[in-house]
Amino acid sequence: MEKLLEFKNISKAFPGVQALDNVSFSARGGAVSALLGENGAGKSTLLKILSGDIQPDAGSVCIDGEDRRFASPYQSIKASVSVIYQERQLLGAMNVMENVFLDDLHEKFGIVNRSELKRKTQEIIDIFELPVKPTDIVGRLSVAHQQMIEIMKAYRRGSDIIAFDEPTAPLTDKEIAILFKLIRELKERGKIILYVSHRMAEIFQITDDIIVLKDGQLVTTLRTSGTNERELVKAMVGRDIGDTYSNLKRNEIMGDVLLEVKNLETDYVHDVSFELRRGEVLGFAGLVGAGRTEVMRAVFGADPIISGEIKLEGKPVRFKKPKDAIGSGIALCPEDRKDQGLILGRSIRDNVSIPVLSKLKRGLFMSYRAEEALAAEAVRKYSIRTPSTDKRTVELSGGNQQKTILGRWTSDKMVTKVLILDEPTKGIDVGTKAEVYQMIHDFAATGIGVIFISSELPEVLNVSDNIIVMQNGRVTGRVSRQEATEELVVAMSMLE
Amino acid sequence: MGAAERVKNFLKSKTFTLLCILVAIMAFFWYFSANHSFLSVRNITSILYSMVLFILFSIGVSLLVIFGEFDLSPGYVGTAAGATLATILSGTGIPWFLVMLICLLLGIVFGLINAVLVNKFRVQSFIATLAVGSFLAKGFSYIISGGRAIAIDHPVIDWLASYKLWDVVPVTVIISVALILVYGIVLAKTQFGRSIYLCGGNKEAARLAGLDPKKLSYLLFANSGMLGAMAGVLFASRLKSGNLDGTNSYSFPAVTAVIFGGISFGGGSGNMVGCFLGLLIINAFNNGLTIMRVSPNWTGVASGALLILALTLDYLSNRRVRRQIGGKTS
Amino acid sequence: MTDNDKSGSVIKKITGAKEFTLVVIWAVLVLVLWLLNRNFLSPGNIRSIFNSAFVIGILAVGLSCLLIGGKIDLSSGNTGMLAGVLISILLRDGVHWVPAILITLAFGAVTGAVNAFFVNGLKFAPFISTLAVSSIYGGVALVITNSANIPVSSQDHDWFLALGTKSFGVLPVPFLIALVLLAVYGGVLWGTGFGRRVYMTGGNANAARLAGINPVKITSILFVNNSVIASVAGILFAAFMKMGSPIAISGSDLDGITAAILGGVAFTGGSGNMFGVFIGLMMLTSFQNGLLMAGLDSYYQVVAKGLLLIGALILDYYRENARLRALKAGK
Repeated sequence: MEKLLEFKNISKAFPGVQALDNVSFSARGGAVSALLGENGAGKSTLLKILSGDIQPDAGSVCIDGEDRRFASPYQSIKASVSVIYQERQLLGAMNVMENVFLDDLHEKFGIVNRSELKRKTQEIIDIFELPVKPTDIVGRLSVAHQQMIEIMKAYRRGSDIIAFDEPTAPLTDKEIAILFKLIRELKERGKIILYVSHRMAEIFQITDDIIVLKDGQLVTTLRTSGTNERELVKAMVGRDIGDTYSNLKRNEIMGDVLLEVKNLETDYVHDVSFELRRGEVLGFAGLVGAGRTEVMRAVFGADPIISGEIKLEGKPVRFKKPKDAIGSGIALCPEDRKDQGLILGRSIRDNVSIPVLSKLKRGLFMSYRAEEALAAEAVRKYSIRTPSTDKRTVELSGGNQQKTILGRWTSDKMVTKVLILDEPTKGIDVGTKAEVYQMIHDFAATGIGVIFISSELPEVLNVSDNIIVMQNGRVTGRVSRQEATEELVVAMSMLE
Repeated sequence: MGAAERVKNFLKSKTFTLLCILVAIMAFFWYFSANHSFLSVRNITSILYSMVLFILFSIGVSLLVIFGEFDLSPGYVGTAAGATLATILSGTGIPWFLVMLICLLLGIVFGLINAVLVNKFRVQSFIATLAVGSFLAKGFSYIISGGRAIAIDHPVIDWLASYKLWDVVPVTVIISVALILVYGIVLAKTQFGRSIYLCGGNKEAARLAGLDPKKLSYLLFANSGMLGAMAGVLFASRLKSGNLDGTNSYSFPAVTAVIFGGISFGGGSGNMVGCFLGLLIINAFNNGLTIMRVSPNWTGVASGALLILALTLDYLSNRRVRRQIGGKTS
Repeated sequence: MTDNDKSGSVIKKITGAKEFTLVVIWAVLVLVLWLLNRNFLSPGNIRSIFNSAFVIGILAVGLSCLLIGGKIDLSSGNTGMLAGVLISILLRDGVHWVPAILITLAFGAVTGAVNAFFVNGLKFAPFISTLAVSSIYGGVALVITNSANIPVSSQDHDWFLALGTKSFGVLPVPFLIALVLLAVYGGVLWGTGFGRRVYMTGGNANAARLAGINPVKITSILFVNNSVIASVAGILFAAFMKMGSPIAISGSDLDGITAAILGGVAFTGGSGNMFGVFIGLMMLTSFQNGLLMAGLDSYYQVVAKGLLLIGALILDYYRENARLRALKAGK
């Protein structure tokens, strides 16, 4: 009998956001079903529910017609479900075989059978054609090999249902080819496979069915053979993506050189040079982990610099800590809003006022009125949806959180000259994305130089004036918006 | 915010819970104490008097815990300062104010050693401060005093120990209450206080937004060491000698008070009012045990039990917060 | 691979292990102490080192398991102390020594369960809640003994006292027991599924949880185990001293932690082994004994011990750094 996995009327809310709203669909055995949608569409939440990591507020997961509610990851594994997470869940200090056989160490009377583990691990390694030994310490392997070991973990269990969350992000072409071969083989053995990816080419290469999600709701389910990229994109964003960019009111005036980085060298990046002009939107493209964030952290004084030269308005600078960079007019919105951008337990007001506390005093004490005025202005300017500035930022949606951070750096008490935005649209909805693009150009129009890091190609190509491409900690290309095409940038960011 | 809502918020607040516990303890001991002497002016003054040292210790520890660190050393630092005071004052002709300054500097030095271990070598603060306190500061006290309790005979120390305003309120009570008031205001109202809360909420985010958590950390550890030394000086002045066990055991109730005060581990929350109420609860409780003639052997049990109670309250209120914001906080 | 290569790689493996560095440091320490005082390696002194090592060593076994699992317990010193008091009272009141030991071990298990409940059930911070519990045990011991030692009579309980006082050559029985525990737990950590799951829990609790391992269960077992082991230390110390003292060994848990960290157990969890702990223990106790032999005031010993613990923590920092650097190089 053909296996069947059904999601029935699943809903799940997190503070400030309805992650899933009454989602129902099914995936069949012997087929690869793609879960497609933008960041924040609810794909990861679905996988977490499937793995028992979190529980839905309503609805159920059915396997072969039987209702299953997984209260813990353990129950889900027992029901023959394996989920391969985007954030690798490995034990860096332990070896390959212990990671692969994490939950089944082949114990006899409690004693681990190492030779058996070693033999079986070697078999799997051979299938995966990987140049590693079962006794290698996982933390010392390359990211791509670590990812393959994460996949081995699920493969080894022989589960009936296997879900992949962006498995290819850190892989090179060679490993991707092996992975796809394995997925096809699993498919032929009748397994149910869920496959989450942002890469269109992969979707058409490997999947049979496509389930499209948007803002936590099911948009449509399609057969891969009966659709095309254009139709998929339209389903994902709910409108033609071209509009967003053609409606953008661009800043056309660029001034003199504002920030100049020459031969920057840190623990993570090598020989990085670039220039930013007043009013310019400078995009940074590349794969996750290419070193874009690390360049900016070094410029901002958050990470140590080994060598290189940084000039701000022609004067050489070297910031020891972010405080100094901010004092000189550089601002950074970090990629990880929740862990590095905001202090989640504090109010919007407290988060907006952090860098300018000394300008909001009356005598010795903080002036509530001045702080409130500052925060209220940010709420008004960026239409942050909140009843008051007292609301803790943990309770805001992703878009409103991002706006709070932007409010912090662009208040009238700040003198921001260079604004660095690291993945500012990650996990926020399409409508807000368009707003953020417009904000970027509005900032540029006031003479601010904007650095815009993004892993979403269409966005970085269409919003930026010039684009710098990075790969493996080095700059591998520089193009203007007019010259840039997706093919060119992908080639620069992936090919050796 | 309407008045009704304000009342409702107050009834839900930790301050209110603490007040209830305090009133319950007071009522219990008042009822059972001989002649209801528990609430006599003399006894209340004596409760306040017993709080003085704890207040000094708690202030420093509170600020650190709000900041997201911890300090177990100030009790031992107090002992070291007391021993230093006695040794120098009795052995040399150095004027008393200089000696006190030296004692405070000593506290600051111990605080800075803590800070270096925590910031430079990334040692977890509780184990670092435990090591610095229970080995370095304790050993220092032994060494400087040669292992003897040295008597202090000095008019200023006498005055500090025995002067009472209007013949009722000891001068040390005034000093400590003034200090907790000042620190409370600093914490609640100034840029410095705000920075402590912000860093306690999320150090990396605070750093990237332009605060300097490292500098703050050094300041707060030094401050805690200095307040510990101050308490040690007061303790020595009360005993009129540099006692070798001194204030070693005082860190513990101070930590309890801090947790009572709603100052959660993990940082970012709590205030001085709660801390003060927590201290009142502990000292009222201990005082009650004393006037009911419970054996002093029970103090260890009582203070451990109070700490567990404080942790439980913290757990219950955190659970409420967790439910409100749905699990994932920083 | 030729035989020559193989032996070469074995030597490389031995000298490359971080325990090798520790052994070298220990050997140098012993050499220096011996040069300072030739009596340092006399049989009598070696026995006295072993006698001063067994409590710390036994406590270090349980504490190392907890540290590797990512938790800590500061109540084990007082748990051991209370166990010693308890068994002395039981023996005084005429209970046979075998049931007395069993009852005391059961008491240890209960105290461990209390710690596990506070930390895993109520989510208290481990170090603070175990400190609170420790204070309670300290008080209870004072209350039930009325702050006096409880002697164990040598006529009625010679079998029991033999546990603490007999020795084979330079090896006292309690130290032998400590060695056995180190070896057994070393084996458990290295070779059993449970042992590996302890490393997994301490190394990455989330990964362990997602793989169906229950970190709460693992750490709860570790807490109970630690308190039972602490009781063993307390029982043996009572037999050694021929009495239960309401203050003795209460601070030894910190020494146990020092030994563990000196021996390479990471304070952050997930790494370390019992061979390292053994070397750490020997370093600590040789050092203390050497200071004593050198005629140093006990005051300075307090400071020296502190410096050793702080040194161990700083060493841990550099090791952690090296680990991270190796990780980075791997990428």
